[in-house]
Amino acid sequence: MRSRTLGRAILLIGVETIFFILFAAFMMTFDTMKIVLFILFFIGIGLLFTKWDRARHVLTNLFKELKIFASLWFVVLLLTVPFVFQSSPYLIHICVMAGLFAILALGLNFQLGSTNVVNFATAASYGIGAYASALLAVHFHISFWLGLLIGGSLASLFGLLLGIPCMKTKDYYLSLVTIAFGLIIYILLINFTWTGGPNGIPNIPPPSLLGHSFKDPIHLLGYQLPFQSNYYYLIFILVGGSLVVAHRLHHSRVGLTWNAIREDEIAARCHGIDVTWYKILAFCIDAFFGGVAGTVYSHYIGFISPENFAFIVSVVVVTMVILGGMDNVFGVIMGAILLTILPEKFRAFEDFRILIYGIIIITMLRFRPQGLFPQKMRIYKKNG
Amino acid sequence: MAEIAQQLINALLLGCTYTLIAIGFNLFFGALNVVHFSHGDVCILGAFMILILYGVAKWIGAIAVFPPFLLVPLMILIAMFLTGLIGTFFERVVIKPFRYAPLLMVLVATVALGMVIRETVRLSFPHGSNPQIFPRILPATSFQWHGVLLRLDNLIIFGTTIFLISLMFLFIQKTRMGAAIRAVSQDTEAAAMMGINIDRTVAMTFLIGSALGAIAGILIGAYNNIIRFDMGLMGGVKGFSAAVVGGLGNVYGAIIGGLILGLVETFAAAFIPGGTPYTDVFAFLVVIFFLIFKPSGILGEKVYEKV
Amino acid sequence: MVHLLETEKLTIRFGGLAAVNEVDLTVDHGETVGLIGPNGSGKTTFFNLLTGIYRPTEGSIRYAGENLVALPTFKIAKQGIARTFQNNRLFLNLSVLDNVLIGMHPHQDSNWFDAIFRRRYVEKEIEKGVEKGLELLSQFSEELASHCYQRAGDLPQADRRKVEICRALASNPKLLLLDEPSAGMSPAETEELMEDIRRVRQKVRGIGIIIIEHDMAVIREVADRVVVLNYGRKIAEGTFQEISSNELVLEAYLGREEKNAQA
Ligand SMILES: Nc1ncnc2c1ncn2[C@@H]1O[C@H](COP(=O)(O)OP(=O)(O)OP(=O)(O)O)[C@@H](O)[C@H]1O
Ligand SMILES: [Mg+2]
Repeated sequence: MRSRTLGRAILLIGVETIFFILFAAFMMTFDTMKIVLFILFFIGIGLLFTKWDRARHVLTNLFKELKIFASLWFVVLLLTVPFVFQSSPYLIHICVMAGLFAILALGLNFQLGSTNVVNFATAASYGIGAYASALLAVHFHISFWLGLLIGGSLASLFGLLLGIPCMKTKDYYLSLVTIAFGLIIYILLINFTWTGGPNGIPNIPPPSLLGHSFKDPIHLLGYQLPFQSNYYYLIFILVGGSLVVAHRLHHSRVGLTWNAIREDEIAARCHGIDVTWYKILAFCIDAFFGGVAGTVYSHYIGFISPENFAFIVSVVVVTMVILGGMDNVFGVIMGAILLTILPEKFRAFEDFRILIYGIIIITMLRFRPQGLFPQKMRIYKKNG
Repeated sequence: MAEIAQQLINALLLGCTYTLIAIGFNLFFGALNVVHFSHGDVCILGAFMILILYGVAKWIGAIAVFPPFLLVPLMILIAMFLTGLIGTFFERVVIKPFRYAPLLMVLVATVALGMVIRETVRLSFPHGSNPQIFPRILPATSFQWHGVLLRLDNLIIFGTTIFLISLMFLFIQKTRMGAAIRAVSQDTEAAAMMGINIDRTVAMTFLIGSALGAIAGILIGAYNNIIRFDMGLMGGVKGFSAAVVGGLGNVYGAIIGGLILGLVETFAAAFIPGGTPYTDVFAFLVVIFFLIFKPSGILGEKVYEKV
Repeated sequence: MVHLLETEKLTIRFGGLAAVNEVDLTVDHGETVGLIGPNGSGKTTFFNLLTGIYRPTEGSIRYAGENLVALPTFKIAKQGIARTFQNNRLFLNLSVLDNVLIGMHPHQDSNWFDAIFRRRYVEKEIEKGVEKGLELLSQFSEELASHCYQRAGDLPQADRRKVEICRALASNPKLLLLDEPSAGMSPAETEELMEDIRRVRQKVRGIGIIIIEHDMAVIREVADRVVVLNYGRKIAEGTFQEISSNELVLEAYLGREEKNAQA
């Protein structure tokens, strides 16, 4: 019995490590031809996995049984990323951006995925977080950590404001409201002088923790990790936190209620659900996530301008949720990671990026609306 | 006094543009109960068509041979027709597949389509990210009338708009196809049972809506003297807003909604100190106000959702 | 004595059409009222008025002595009125069990804060809900209880109706509104349904039921009293026997059929 578990644990470590190495190798490949080969290889594995039932069963059971162990090892692997990419900060930068978008996508998923509210104002809450904390830091020397909280809360307040019209409107009308709000924020950011107008805010100070500035490299175990690693670990914790929050909300009365609203609003009402309140709640939580991501972004890059928060950013996040799989927390993160990394790998086609996003959305909706990772039924523990 | 009259004229012109776009939104919503979020981008295609046609005309030397009063209407007609065809094509490819799917899908799909249109335009024109000079297709003369400056091109624009909108109403009221369009927008299933070809009627709706939208695109180009690939986003949102203010699905509402938005924007720019950069903000605030306090718009009836 | 439900001159007009017209109807504790009438006579609309989906043009709705008019739908549901729908509105992409769990929404109380920070509390709540849900389901069909993780949209029609009733019962309603529960069921399944309704009446003391039905056998079996609507008006009320010999009622139904025959 013991040796069996040990064997399985080793198998698990093997599988995860191999995938991690493949991922790292993929990230370090810059030759377009090889990248394409890599992608084909990954798609091949994915297909094999869906077709070959036995292998899938073995692996999923393995992960289910040793869930905690599997996640722990996964965490360990992710923690080594800055070491692996030590000599190419650019790759760590990509990972940080992927993490930021993962937070945005997780936030949007509460609405788009769980509740079926199409919110095109993600960029606005992202921007509000970014601008609020940046202005506070630049003018009032408020620390990043406090700014994180303030940025999130202000964005959340904005979410509340945005959610109020949903008392009276839904569907197309509500989407119009979100688009309008998003454009309003963008126009205001461009025209206000105290936000720096079209030029934005430069020289946003980096965070510091216990006297260690995030602009400095990390010295650890004899390694020198580039300064991006600070943000990598920060984002790692934030994504982890968001993931836990998203997961917990999903597996609770709140998540279930959101799903009921998504499936049939009238039936939901007839079962005592205060649809307006739950929609507003989704707006606020989404905006909070956006605000947090925005705060990190502004302090990480050190410079923000309205262009970073244009309408297109909202659509990109929508694409991530749809590609990954609506209402599947894991899928949504994968969507964010894929759509951040792949464009970076195909820099040569940078100009076509948004066009391709558009095509991805339409194709996915048409042929695989459930996304790459479809939502799963909630399974409850057998009790007693 | 003259100042107000001058602003009223400006508002009327802007209102015409929004009305033309809003009519499309209302036609489509009537026919299919969808909001075609990329309609604004289709409209701007009309302006880009003129750009292309003008280039072609110049290249083959037609500009030098034919007088403008022949050439310009011809170019506009062709642009309308082509844009109409493109609109119909998009309906087939992007909207029709979602006819029985949850509403969210067609909503997101059309937003994505807008992105695809904008990017395609941007990528297909040299320096597509920059504004393109819109050809001067209308005469630039102007004259004074009781202290109000009237530009001939504006008068032409205004006359054409009224003419086309009246033509469309005539078409919808008096022809068989128009009757079919009305029937489908009343009750699609009943219309189908009466033997109306739904697909053809819907296609016709998109042809008309997009062709009228092309005029709106051309107006925007003519008014600003430039066009840019992403103008359709704002144009579409404004057009949709106008439709909502007037009452979504009500073709007459488009006129009222368009005029209201036009008035709000022009007067905000003219009479609120420092208001010029914020005209869009004022317009959106009006729309949001309507959505909260009168979601069915001015002419829309309250609908009871069937349970 | 206060009736469980009492409507007075309840009326709604859609444009010119009075879909429900001055209907007085009472339901007492423990009573089952059959609501019948030809197609389009306003039965479903009557339910929509009771549940606050439509706002009445005129008239009043008193429930346990309280005025329901102008209350939003979700508050009415929280007061203990549960319903099923004529064309079945399950949450199709959720599991059978989740559907029933959502039915318990009105008397659960965990919020977003609990969900994130008080995991134990939420887990308790879910655990209790699952237990109760499975019990409810197994009363209706062991089969359903054992397939409780199936997607509701994959169920056959008869099972969907059962789940819908379970979902409604999960909120411990005092008044249950059933809109044509036997539609699309085979005779055997209808038989089972009648059995289920009888059992519910026995188990849930004092529950009032209004049942809309086209199947007269069901009405005869389960209804204590029958109310007949025609063109939105109440044209008759009484026991099944009284109704079935009522001239007006016969005319309402037969008149229709004659018209249909002519058309
Ligand atoms: N939302 C609405 N808007 C306009 N008219 C409506 C609406 N809902 C119902 N009606 C009309 O009210 C009348 C009553 O409809 P209702 O659905 O209540 O009938 P019903 O008795 O339930 O019929 P059935 O036996 O077919 O279910 C019908 O003429 C219907 O067309
Ligand atoms: Mg009915």
